[in-house]
Amino acid sequence: MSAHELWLLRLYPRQWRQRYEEEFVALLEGCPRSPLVLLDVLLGALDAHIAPQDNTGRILQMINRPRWTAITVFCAYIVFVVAGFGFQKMTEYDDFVEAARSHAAIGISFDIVVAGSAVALLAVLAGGLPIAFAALKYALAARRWDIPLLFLVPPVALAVWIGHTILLTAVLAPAHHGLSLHTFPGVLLIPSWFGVFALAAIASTAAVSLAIARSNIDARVFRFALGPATIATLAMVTMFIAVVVWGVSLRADAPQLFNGDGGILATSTAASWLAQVTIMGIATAIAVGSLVRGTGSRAEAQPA
Amino acid sequence: VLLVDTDLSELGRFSDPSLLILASLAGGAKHGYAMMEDIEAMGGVRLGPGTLYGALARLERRGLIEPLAAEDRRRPYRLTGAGATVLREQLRSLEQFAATGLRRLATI
Repeated sequence: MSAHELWLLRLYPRQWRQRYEEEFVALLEGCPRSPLVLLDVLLGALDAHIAPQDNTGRILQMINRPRWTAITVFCAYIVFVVAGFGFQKMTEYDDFVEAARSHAAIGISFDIVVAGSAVALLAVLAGGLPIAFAALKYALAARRWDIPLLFLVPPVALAVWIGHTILLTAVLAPAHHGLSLHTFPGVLLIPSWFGVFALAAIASTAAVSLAIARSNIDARVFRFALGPATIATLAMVTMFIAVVVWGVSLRADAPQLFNGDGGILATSTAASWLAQVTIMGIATAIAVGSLVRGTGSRAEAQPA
Repeated sequence: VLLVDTDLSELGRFSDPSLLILASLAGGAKHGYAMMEDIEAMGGVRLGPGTLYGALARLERRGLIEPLAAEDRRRPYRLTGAGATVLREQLRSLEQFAATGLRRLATI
């Protein structure tokens, strides 16, 4: 078979290929080649995705749903944390701290974000640690060394980010008599700090998600994780509302700050806030959607 | 759990290929390529590989056909009892339809 025909076969779902690939390839090898045949194979792949071929697939999908809910909520949480990190960096400046002290709505909404972040972190740890332990236990039993290696990515990524921070603050900043966004090389180095943080977060999240997806973990562990995932998602909803209230209150009570350039990397405060709210909103919506599907499958799985 | 149903219409665009496959397998167990050849000879229609396997997977899920042991990568399929019942009902209804149509044509 030619490379493009093999590529077409890869378009079929994995479960379909496990069942039919060998005989399907034997059939294709006997068929005359024509664009219509290739189109038919392509449409067959589309059909196989739209209409799962057996009930086992559907049952597996239902059983795996809590697993994907846990992974999705975790990924959404990390995206939320990255946006929240930007919010925290933006609001640590004296002007924002003073505004929070002077105006109740700004202060209270900020405090809610802080409390919500603690609750969400504890919930993610409560739901995630048993999953991580179960994955490592499976890896040791099955001698799957790729799984512990994937779990090593977050500490390595953290070390890289800390190393980059030390390089910037202890080596490069003194060498250039301080770094500023308005002069070279600060205009490159300071954004790189955020860039390395974002890359470290993406690599860590992808690695942990992959490790969990590859592990054979008891479904009860994932079903247990739905409770903490619900708490983490509710905390994300609360924080999202609080960040919206914070921005609206800042605009009303301290318009000079809201309209100034106190945002991330000395950009517009309003634009930074809007970007953070957008990212947090998307992450929260993904977590809520996944949780609704996941808890729905749990209700289906429980006997009446 | 297999879905056994005597109605092929809910197989959508696969209902015609499904009927052709059932009719082909009524003549004995066949693998995919032999089915394609047999259907072309019997009905003048050449099913594409994607269409054939889309219909085969549906028929298998419904318990109307069953796979046999593979022979050199090619897996033959055979009609089940349920498949034979469905095929008989479908052909009878087609027979009635054809008979009615022919009677009406005879009056023209």
